[in-house]
Amino acid sequence: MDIEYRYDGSPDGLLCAIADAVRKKEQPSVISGPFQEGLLYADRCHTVTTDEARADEVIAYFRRKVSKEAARNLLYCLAGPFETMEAELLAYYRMGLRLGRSLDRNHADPIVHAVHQAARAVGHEIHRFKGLLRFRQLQDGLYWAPFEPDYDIISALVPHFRARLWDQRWMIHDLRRARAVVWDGRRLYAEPQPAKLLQDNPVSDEEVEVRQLWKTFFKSVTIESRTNPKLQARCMPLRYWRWLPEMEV
Amino acid sequence: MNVEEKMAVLADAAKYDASCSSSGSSRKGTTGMTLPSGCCHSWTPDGRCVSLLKTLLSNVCIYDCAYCINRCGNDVKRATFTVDEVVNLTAEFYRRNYIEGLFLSSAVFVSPDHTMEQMIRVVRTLREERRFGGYIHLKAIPGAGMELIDRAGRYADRVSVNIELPSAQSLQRLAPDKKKDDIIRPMAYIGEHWKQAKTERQKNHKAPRFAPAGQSTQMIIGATPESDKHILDLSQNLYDSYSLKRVYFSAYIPVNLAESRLPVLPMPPLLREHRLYQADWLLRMYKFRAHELLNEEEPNLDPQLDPKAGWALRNFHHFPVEINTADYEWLLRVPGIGVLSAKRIIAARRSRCLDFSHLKRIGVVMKRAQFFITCSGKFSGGLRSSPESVRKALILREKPSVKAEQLQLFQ
Ligand code: SF4
Repeated sequence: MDIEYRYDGSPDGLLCAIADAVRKKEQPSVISGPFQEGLLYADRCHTVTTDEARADEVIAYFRRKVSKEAARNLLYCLAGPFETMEAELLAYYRMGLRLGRSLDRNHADPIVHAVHQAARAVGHEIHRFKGLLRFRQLQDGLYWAPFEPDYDIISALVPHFRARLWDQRWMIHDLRRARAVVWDGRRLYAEPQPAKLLQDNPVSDEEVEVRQLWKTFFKSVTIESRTNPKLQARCMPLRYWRWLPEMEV
Repeated sequence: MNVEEKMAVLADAAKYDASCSSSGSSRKGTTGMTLPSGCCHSWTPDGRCVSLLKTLLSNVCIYDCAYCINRCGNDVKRATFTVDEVVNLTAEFYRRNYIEGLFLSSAVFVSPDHTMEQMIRVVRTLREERRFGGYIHLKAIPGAGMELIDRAGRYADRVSVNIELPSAQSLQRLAPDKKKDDIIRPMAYIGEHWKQAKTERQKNHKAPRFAPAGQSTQMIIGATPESDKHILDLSQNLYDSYSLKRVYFSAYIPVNLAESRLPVLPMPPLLREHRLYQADWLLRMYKFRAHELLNEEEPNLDPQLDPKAGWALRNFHHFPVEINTADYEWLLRVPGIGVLSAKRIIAARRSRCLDFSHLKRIGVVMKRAQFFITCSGKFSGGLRSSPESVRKALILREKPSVKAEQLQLFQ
């Protein structure tokens, strides 16, 4: 029997779809989001209800039953290319419930391998932006950090910068997804209207000076005779350059 | 001179020494903490990772080392940062997430003690007044007093003393102002106090830190006649005796062309540096000993082949090893299998018998490993069964871009 699951295309929706399939002991032939093509002839079509709280439980359950590492892999995939791997994620989840702690040891298994690769790509971008995110001081003292990541990684970055830059006010701002998180010196919150904080708030004079010094530093440490733009672009992909002061001409 | 002009002089002067390492330390409660793994904040057009504000405090020098651009006899632009200038630059760069921290070194101005005191003032201000929690690496000045070394260790994550050249004779000839003892003494002091502080902190985590990221050192390769064997033996000795974390090699780049004590090289020995780093990696991560890699008959590394493959070919009679049964130590010795893939093999073979397609997924570099392994008795290295033919095949498969790889090393 061909069963089709339809969900709303959100990570939470997919988690609920996975939970439905596990609870009903069903094997859907396809799990499709709103922009994906479903089956031409499905014997039955189940529409998944998205529920945030339930989605959190699905992750928490997986963490308890399998491992922290496995739950992190799942979360990373959900911050990343989950829309092309719904079936793999369901299979990974099921396998986890069956195997428990040893799930991630199966490096040679194609499902585990696919999940690891996707999670690694997301983890890699998180690691990269710990280094590549740039804060600029605005006139009112707010440090603004705009970036355009491939994956939805803002929540993974926030704890890192809160621990590091706790004594300044900042806003990390994912321009691609129009999401922003603010640290006001005491608490963290999601800012629904980041543009408001930026209005009439150009960069400070000090910012201009410091940026100039940084550029001078960057130029001075370059060894001209060994320039290798290909290598540079491999380490630091061009699409990230837009927000790096040292790459401004 | 304004700060920007000084920066141009002093960052430029610091760039040729190739070490860049930021690891293993956290200072909670101050302005944040550092990553346990090194983190790059940018890459220069020559492909090197930038993670620290790396600069000299001053390039005014009273010494006259033959290989150095800043030696007192040279006519170069001189500059000296004030303590506050370095403090501000570090703090402001850190606020903007340009850097992970500071790497401060200096030429010797006025006296070793005076120089070291100024450097310590920088780190003390950063830590105590600015509550700076980023990474700090200080280069100790040879000849500075031990109480200064001690203070440096209290504030910095890493303190390093450069060994400069691979032997006392070479040091005597090229850097006559620096005494071997002035280098070894602080090294021993740091090694000992680092160990002590570590044990203390295991008992009581409030005990003071001492250079928690340990010490490293650096030497110039190719300016003096020592063999690779000599260099690796020395490195191993340093790791064993002074608890060093890293030994960095930097290919000699001629700057003082009229200097008769130095050799004339067609180009900097970058490939040699690369092979030494590979061999050093084997000492640190793969439990190789220096004598396994080189001996009196073959005192230098094979430029055409990485040292692990070289070792495997000399010990060809131990191969192939069976992936499904070999112990971890043996898996590690197979060219093309790294620490991570060896661990994964051990984990994965518990649940199934592995074949070649599994190995690829695990991350084994088959084009190298194939000649040295079997999977359930099967061999996929074709007809190559002598070390000579395998050697040829491996050389053909070496990346043509060894040069690109060399540059990556600077990361
Ligand atoms: S002491 Fe340092 S700066 Fe001075 S000449 Fe020697 S290597 Fe150069």
